[in-house]
Amino acid sequence: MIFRRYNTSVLAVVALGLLLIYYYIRQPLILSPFGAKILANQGTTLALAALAQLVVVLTGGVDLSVGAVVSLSNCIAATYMGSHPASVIAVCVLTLAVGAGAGLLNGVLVAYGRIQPIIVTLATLYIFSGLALMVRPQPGGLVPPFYANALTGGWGYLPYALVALFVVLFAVWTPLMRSRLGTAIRAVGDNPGGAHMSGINVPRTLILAYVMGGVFAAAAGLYLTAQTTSGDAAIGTSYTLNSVAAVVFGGALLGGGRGVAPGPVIAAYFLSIIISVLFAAGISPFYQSVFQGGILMVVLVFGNLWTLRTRNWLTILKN
Amino acid sequence: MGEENMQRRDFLRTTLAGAGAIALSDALPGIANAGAGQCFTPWDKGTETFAWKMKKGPYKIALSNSYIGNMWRTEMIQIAKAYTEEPAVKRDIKQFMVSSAGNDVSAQIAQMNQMILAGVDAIVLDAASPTGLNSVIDQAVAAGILVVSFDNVVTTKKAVWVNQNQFEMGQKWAEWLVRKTGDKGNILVVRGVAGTFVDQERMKGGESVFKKYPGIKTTEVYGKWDDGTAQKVVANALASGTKFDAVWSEGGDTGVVRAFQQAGLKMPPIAGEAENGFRTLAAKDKFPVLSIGQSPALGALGIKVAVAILKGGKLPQSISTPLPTATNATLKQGVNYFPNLPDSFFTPISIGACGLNFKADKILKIKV
Repeated sequence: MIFRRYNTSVLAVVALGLLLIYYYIRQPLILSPFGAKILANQGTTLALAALAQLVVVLTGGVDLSVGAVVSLSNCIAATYMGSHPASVIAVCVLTLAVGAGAGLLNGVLVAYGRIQPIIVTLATLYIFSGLALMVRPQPGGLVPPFYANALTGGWGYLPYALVALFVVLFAVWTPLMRSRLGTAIRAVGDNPGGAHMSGINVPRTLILAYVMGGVFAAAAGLYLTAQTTSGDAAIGTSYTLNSVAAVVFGGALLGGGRGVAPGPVIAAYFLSIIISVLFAAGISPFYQSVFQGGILMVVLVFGNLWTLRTRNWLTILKN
Repeated sequence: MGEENMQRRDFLRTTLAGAGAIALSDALPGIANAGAGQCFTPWDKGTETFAWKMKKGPYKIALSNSYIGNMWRTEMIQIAKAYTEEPAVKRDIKQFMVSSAGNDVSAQIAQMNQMILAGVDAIVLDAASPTGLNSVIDQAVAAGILVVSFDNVVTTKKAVWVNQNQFEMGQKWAEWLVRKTGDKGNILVVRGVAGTFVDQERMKGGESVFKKYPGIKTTEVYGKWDDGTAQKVVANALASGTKFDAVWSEGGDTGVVRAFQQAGLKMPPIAGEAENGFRTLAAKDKFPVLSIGQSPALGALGIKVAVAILKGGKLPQSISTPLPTATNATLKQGVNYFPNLPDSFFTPISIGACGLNFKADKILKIKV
């Protein structure tokens, strides 16, 4: 039962497992407290960005503004955080609120503007990147060491990054997805007409999904701020497409309605760690991105080979 | 109290180093042939000496590059590789690794973490963000790894900075032009990409000179350091009918010269960057030229600085490297311009004052 629910994530789990085994062979030191810490830190920002993308993808949309919201929240956090614990907490809350606001704008335009999500979020991508540049025209800013340490440090072999991620997953994501809202999001993504006929408020569901996405993207920005201890308006660009890749790799359907959190989160770690593995394997920098894409493609193809065993193509097309 | 002791110890060490310079130069050939003072020039009077613990060689050194995909970066990596293969240098280097992360800060953080794990002695860095890598640099330094940043330098003083002074570059161009025009005249100013640090610094340097001469008038256009764009905007400026007595240009200079040629005008004195096409045209058509460029050998210099510091050399935390300069008198085919190579090739592949001398054909053969 549990396996069936999460079987879309199996591919990412197997791929990450193999990658880590290979990494360990090339670099045994990853099995040390420091190694565990950097492995965990490396993927957490993308994992949070993947959650932001996943909630929107579940509604059948796609959010191209994820990277811009990551940049914007990174700039806000690094610029205004200060050093007093109270101001740190206040700025974190403010940053998440800005993320929610960004998501609200996306959601309203998608739900009531009746514009394709890809166009809406492409437009807001420019707006949010512009705002990030206004907040921080030049890279800089500062965060207190205790903030950075609380998110990127570790206690023995236990990296705080994983603790933070598990808190988000089990205290925020799971309850939300198990609530009526979570069911409604999946229903809207699977079949908006059917959802409407069943009495689900489709626009409201869409808006809330985008707001959640904005908050998760802002959380990713907050994490990135702890990792880089500074703000840079151009820093988030790579998270948009990588978050989409993580979501697809993690077994969610771009068409909406299907997808569970573990897959994209684990896929995010895979995508983030692969560049270090390529470096450890001594691949020339010119070809690293070719290998990165190639490996991703091979993994996806192998993962989907099983579908060819089916007797009827209709079942494949329906999935 | 502790700090005071530290300073005293450092003071003693520097004094000793000064006194024993001749003895030391035998022990440290890398520093000696640079003529020490000339090559490792402190940025300004406020520059402190970089404190680092001496370590026994040979060393493991990693080059962490960000963007890859223009001629300059490719040459930079090729020269760095060629440098580590030189017999005198190879003795000190156990292993040399290169990695490029693209303009992606988190990828470069991951890459540097990997270098920390690999237990390198020094990381030589062309950063994707001036600030985004500061925390991973802290970690590297805590792990006993020396970080030397060059070209796109970082803001943390825990790393050594190696770069050319962009302000001085703009200033030198301007001073030369003022002399050529006899303190008066119309100067066409071709700027780079608006809003970037390099463009602002070079322009400030230029203005610091121009404003001293009331007879000098300037007209500004933005050429974006690109031959095509520069040619277009200069052609527009010429079409307005203004006569320009000189050109101060930050880049895209091959295009600037072509614009003058297409308008059928005699090329006035031009001070600009160091693209191969620009220097080749200057050598062929013999118009007055001053060419100063950002050297792709800065990466190799970063390695040299890293090795010198690891060996116990007392170097400044911020190092200003000499500006590779060429004028009509010093232009020499096959040395600082190459008619058979692409226009986009960056010519200042050697930094003579630092003992870094390379050959273009050999560099281009090296696999990146």
